[in-house]
Amino acid sequence: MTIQDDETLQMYVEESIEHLENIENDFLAIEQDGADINEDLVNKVYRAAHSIKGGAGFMGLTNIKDLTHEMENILGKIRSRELVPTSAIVNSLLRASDALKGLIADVLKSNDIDITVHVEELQNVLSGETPPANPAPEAPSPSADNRTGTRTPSAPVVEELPVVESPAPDAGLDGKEKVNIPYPGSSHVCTFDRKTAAELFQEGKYVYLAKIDLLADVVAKGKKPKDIVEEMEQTGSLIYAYPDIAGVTTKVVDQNTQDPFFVVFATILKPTDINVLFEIDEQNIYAITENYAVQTLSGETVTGEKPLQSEAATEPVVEQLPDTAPEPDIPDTVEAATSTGINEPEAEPQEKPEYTAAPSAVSVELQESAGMSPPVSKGGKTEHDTSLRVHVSLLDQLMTLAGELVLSRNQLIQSMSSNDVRASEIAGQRIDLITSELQEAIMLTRMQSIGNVFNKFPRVVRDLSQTLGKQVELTLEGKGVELDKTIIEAIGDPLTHLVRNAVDHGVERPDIRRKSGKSPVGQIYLKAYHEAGQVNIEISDDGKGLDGKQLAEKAVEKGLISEEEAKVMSDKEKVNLIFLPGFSTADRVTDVSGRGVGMDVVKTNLDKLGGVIDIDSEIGKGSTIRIKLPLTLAIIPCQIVMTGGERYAIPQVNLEELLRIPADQVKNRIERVGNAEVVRLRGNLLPLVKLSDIIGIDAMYSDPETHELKIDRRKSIIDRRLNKTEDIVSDSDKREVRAEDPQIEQRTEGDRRYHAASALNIVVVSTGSMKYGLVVDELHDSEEIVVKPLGRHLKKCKGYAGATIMGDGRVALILDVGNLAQMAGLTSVESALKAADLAKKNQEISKSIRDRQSLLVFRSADDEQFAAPLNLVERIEKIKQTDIEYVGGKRVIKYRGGSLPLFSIDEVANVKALSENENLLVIVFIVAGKEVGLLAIGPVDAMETTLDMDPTTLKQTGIMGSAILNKHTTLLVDVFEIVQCLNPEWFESQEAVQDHVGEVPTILFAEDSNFFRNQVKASMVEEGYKVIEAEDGAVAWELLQERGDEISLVVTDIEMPNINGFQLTKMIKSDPHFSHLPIIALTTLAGDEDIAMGSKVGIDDYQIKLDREKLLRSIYDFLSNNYGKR
Amino acid sequence: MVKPNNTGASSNVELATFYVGEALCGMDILKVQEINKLLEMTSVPQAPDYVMGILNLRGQIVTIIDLSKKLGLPSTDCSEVSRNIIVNSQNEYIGLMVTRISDVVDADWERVESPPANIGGVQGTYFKGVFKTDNRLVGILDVEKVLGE
Repeated sequence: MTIQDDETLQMYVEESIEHLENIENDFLAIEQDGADINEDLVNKVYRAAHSIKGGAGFMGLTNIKDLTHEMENILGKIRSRELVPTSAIVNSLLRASDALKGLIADVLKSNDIDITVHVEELQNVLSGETPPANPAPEAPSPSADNRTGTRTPSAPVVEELPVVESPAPDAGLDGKEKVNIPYPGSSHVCTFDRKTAAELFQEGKYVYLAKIDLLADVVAKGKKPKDIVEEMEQTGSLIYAYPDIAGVTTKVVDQNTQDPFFVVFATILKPTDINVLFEIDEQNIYAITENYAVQTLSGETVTGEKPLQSEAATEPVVEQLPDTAPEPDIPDTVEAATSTGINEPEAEPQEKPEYTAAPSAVSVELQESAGMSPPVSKGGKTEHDTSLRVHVSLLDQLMTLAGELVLSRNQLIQSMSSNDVRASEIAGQRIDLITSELQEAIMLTRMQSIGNVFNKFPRVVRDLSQTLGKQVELTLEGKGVELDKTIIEAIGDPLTHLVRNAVDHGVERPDIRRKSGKSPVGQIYLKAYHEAGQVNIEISDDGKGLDGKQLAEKAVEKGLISEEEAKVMSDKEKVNLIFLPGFSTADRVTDVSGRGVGMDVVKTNLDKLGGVIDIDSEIGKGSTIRIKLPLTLAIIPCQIVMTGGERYAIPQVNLEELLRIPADQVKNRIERVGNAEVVRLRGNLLPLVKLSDIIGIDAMYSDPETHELKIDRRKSIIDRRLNKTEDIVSDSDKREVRAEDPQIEQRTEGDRRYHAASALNIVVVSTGSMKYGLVVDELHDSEEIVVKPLGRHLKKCKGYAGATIMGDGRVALILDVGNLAQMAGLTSVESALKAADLAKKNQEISKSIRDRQSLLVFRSADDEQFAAPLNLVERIEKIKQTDIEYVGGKRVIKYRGGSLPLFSIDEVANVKALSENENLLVIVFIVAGKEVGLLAIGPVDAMETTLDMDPTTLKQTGIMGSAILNKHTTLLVDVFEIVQCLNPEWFESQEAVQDHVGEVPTILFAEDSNFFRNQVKASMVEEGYKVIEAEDGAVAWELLQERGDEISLVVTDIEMPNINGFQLTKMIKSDPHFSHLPIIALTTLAGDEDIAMGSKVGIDDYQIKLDREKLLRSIYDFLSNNYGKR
Repeated sequence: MVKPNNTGASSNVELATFYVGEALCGMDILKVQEINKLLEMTSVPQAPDYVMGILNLRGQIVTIIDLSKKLGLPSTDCSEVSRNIIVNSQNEYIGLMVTRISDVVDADWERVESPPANIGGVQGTYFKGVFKTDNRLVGILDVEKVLGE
């Protein structure tokens, strides 16, 4: 046999691909069922394999035939329960179906491809069990029982007609003899060679018995008998004809011709299609089954049993309709649709074919779409997109719309020629309406369900998890979601990659999962749904998740980001690093992934589609990858903006929101951090980029008075000039403007910046994790635009995704928001943001760090909050009220063999009395070298805070001042003062001031915080020192120059504006006049780095700010030493 | 459209001639899709300097190239007589802005001479050859080469 004409081959290929697509998932289901065989399913696969085989035999595709034959054998065994479909067997079957796909994809060369491996494999599977007793699966007898069993549930309506006549094979069953089949309702008996027929059946052909009325069916239609014979010989083989062919072709047909022409004809055409060839009354055609029963074309048996083939190729769903409508063929290609009318009479021959066609087809389609796949996308030809199945009703709709369009055009032309404006308007509106409907309908023809892509994943996941020794369960959701054909084709690879990743990297091995308390079976969810005019696809797994830290380290290691960048990244950003080009997460290269093509490729692919990808991950819990895709690529909704006098389109996919900042608020809302301008938007900083800056054009503004476009001279968004005071602005500004452009001199009042026209228009856009504000001159409408590609000379302009034609015929460029961000240097906008934020915080911190103090917050009575410097606290003890002893008028508690003196704040200060709680806290301080305990109650909390201390209002003995902490007014306890009050005798030993030289030593004290300056100064003065205060290092340095002689010691804060403590120390130590001066640095918390840094520049000692005692001791020590030297 | 059969030694070819600056250039007329007046162009910021902009030619986006600039001459001053020659190159419409259009000249390939190193300040490599008419010298542009990167 040779390969037939192209069209037939193409039909065969398409059909086979369809079968194969379903086969895969069915195999998986069969595997899952295991020994508990679902016969329906097995039969379905069996039939599919059989159809492919039949066609292959007919086409002479021996390799395909052989392979499917082996598959069929195995399936037959499974069906008869001789073989339990184990994983191994299903593996072989799957491999075979893969090979088959390859063969069919390259059908013309399929005979040259070596498939012995697969055939042998299948044969081994088969022979592994009891040797097959020559499994001729298409032989009717073994399958007949099963068929009747399986058919009943799915085809309740098909009832066998009473047997009219039995098949009458002439003699024995060896097939050498003739078969005699009487033509139903006639005395004519057709006789043909049994062996020839059997061979034809073996090839998968259908055999038909037809009675052709030469006069009515042939001559009346303008053909000659010869034509019809030739036609038949081209499409199949004629195995019986009466009168014989020679007689018919030469016969002159006239009114007197009465004899009908009987033929037995074998062809690949299915019963539903056969009448395309004959074009005769369908009642005159019968199908002959393999066991030589005679059937009507709709499958009703006239004689003998129900045939195998006539049903084998069609879907089981078809059988739900009584007339076995030609379901898979009606919505074929456009051309095929026209032929449906011819097929129709087989259902209801009495009715007019044209009108019954559509409804019955539609009802089949509807049933089917409710059941399994959507109507339009039945084919799922991701590999072969030469033809596409479109629903007839959709075509009808298109036709109607086209008709309406023509009518409206006529209307428009008429109204235009008669100058009837009103009528033109109406016609215009109609055309507008029809166009959008037409657009929608045409789009629908391109829509395919995402199930086409999803359906291959069960196999992918199964194979992969087996290879990796993992257990994974895949859940698919939203298979019916439809997307444009081109997108469906393009997302296949990225999605496969993501699913593979989820299995390979996401889901852990069962033992590891068990250890971490998860079910050993990993879950992967694949979900598609519509949202906001886009399609969302989510791939989530419950695996180990992504370790942002690790990713960040790797990215730093690979030099993709700097360490600084990594530091300021949020976890989400770190996880999203995976999309950076050149990033691959696999620690080792596995067979599965990590072959260098990583997530960045996925991202690039999706970017090309106008999609957005985002990843969320939690360590130990799993990751979720979200993809947003436009429904279609050709027409996309866009926001039109204007900059520099040209319009630009920003795809709605990237659009987050539009922001207009009125001119008078610009200065308040926009902030400048370093070189970047940011806008505060609902608490977040959003970096701003001027579109005109990125693409290097001049921003324009429309002059509010003349409406001319003028070049906007503002170089930065917040005009520098705004920093000046109001009245100066207008004056100097006017002068400036005048200087720049004498033409606009006349505009004397009001500044343009305060005009509505100079409000800031910001388009907030996002690509994945990046989000930024694009500043444009003007915001226009949102429009649906048609994307057109740019020429090759513009391919290097990364900022554009294409161009479109606007309503006025001019071209507007479509902006590629992601690339614009890159061009603007916002590689990772969030991190840039964060950096900006951090810089800001740093500024604030540098302002406030000097005032930051760790505090221990506690209470003495329930509603009065106190705080003490945390670094003075030695420890906290819990005691019972009853443990307190009163000895010598004082409260003590036994502690480590000694007595710890206790006091409460109310003893000294005028505060509420200590709570009567049974359980008390003792905060232990060391004062004057002795431990003392402050009685308090909880809750205790340590907090680092900016001490915005009020040193006066609530000041009293034992209380330094007050501050608001946690929304409570908190009294800051002066432990020294309290202890001094209670035990003045403890401090007597220290009272000696070093005045033995006759003068009071003077201390230069630099500290920028008022509060601390006062506090510390007071304690030094109290000790008898003279203190010169300085607000910062610079002042201190000046004072030192002026009064250097008096000063015998410097106490300085570290963090100070202008000149900080380190710098001051350096200056002092490097000046020969002052280098002898001891320097004590005060800090809130002395870190090791600071101490090292300090000793490097020459700081002699570090003291904690509020530890007055130690500070004084240190001062004392230094001064006595120095004085000793003097 | 149809690839001109300019390798055939005997074939005659019609040349559309035009001025780029002062240089008279020509190209196979079969290469020319159409010639039109200046249309409203949309400038493309960041495009190479020889790209004047893009325009809408009956639904197709056409890149307009300043031929003079592309050939290394000063940019074309758009005037009343300057025209766009729309050519189809590699399945894409590209407009070549020329200073002005001249005649159609019948050229015999056999009389076409190899180009000198320089024609009117334009590098010789951009030309397929030169053709002498009675009083003028036409440089035959190699359009694909000119439109290459």
